[in-house]
Amino acid sequence: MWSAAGQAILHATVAALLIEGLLRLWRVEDPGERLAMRGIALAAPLVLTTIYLAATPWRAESWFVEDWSLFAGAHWNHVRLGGIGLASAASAALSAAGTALFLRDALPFIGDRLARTAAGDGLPDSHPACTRVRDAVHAVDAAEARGDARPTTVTVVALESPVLMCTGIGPTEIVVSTGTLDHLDDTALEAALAHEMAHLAARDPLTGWWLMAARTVQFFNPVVQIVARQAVQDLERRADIAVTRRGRARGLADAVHRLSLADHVHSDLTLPADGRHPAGRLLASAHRRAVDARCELLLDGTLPACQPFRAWRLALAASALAVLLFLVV
Amino acid sequence: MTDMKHRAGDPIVDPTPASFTPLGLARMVGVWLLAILAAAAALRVADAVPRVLLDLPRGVARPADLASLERESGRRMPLPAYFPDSLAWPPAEVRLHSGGSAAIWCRQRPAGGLALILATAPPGERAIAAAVLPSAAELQRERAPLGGVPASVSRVRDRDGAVWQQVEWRTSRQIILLRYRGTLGELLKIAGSVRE
Repeated sequence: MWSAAGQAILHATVAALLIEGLLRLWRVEDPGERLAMRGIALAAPLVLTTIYLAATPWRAESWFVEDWSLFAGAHWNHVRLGGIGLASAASAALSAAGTALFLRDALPFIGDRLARTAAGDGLPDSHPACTRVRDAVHAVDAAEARGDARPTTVTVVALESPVLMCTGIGPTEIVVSTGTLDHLDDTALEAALAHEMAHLAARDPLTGWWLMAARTVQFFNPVVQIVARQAVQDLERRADIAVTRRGRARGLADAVHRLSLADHVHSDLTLPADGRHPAGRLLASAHRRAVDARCELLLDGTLPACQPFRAWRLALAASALAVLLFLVV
Repeated sequence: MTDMKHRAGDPIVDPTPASFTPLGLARMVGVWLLAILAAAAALRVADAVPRVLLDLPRGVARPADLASLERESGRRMPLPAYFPDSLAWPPAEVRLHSGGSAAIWCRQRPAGGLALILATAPPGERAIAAAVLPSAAELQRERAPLGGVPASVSRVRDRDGAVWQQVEWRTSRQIILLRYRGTLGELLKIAGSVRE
């Protein structure tokens, strides 16, 4: 089992590095294509590794390992650390790190699902906050002229902390808290809602479930956990670009900036960071820079160019991984 | 935050999609090939690092002791009943090849150079893997019986120029090789005492 887990981590590492290299060399800026490439990197250790382990067990035999493989993890087991091979020790340590990364996101996610606010828990429709949000949704909807972006339900909850998120695959929902409304003026609110509606139009909640499924199946794999997080950033960028196309970039940058300064935020526009511990401060600093960079991109307003041969690039990346991973044991 | 470049409501014009050109297609495929070759080279280098660190040929492991060697190879090493007093025990080095060949290297006592190599390979192998043996050049080879079993007796020269005597024979269980830095008579005496 350790051997299979080690190979999955090794394959995920090779896949992630190759895909990242190709994204840079091909200068792929379109977040949709970046997302598809990351999907290949996520699927590789899940699909290819499983097929190779099940269908070609002879790859573990010495003739293949010594004469054909490009890289054999078993060779690193010749280096011993306290009687344990380095490859085995690294597999165990990385599996622990992967599990920790998974639980770090999965536990709050499960807690959120358990404590999820039902539509009936929201403020009554006649409440001024609901009227304000409804008007904003209508304004965005009218500008978008796209029925698929309109949420089935909009729930406004009475919470001081800012909450702004979309959810749902069939019936969709946008949840907004009164704390969010307190932080945003009308322009920023419309832009923030346009961002959430862009997620719904692109069926990003479904993609989010797929990403969580991939992370759960490979809970031990730290590389899969990191690549899935990068994919979430691509989802956010794609929604930002959709808002930028509608000329609401400034409002969205304003919303991102304002919400990122608030405490206990629960929104994909900005993730919470705990700055109490040194490591937390470091993370908070990196988080601050990432939020600033996102705002700068929005204000810059430059849209990525779509390059031709997208399907070819995806096929070439997948075939490269199929060959390389076959030769990594 | 940076200065505003676009006002809310400003129409944003999508950049014109890059058009198809044969040069663009060639560049895309060229980059792909380059990335594959670079990845393959990087993997090969990463694979070679432990061998370079441990100064071991490809496919060779260095078990901690004779017991580990026997456990990892799944075979008992054939040891000679006659072991000259001039040789040190336990072996200075133990090597195991992924193909099944195994070897122990013994030094002269006290703290001298290598003096005896005992190597084996499973019966299915064509020969003992050269990677488990110190590098040497064969000078002379002859067929000769060893206790009624056909054997190959040879003289080899090591990297330092020293001449060794060597005998190699097959049994039903394995191939056995003994290389000794001493007289042929002494080597045959050691070889004749090997028990499987």
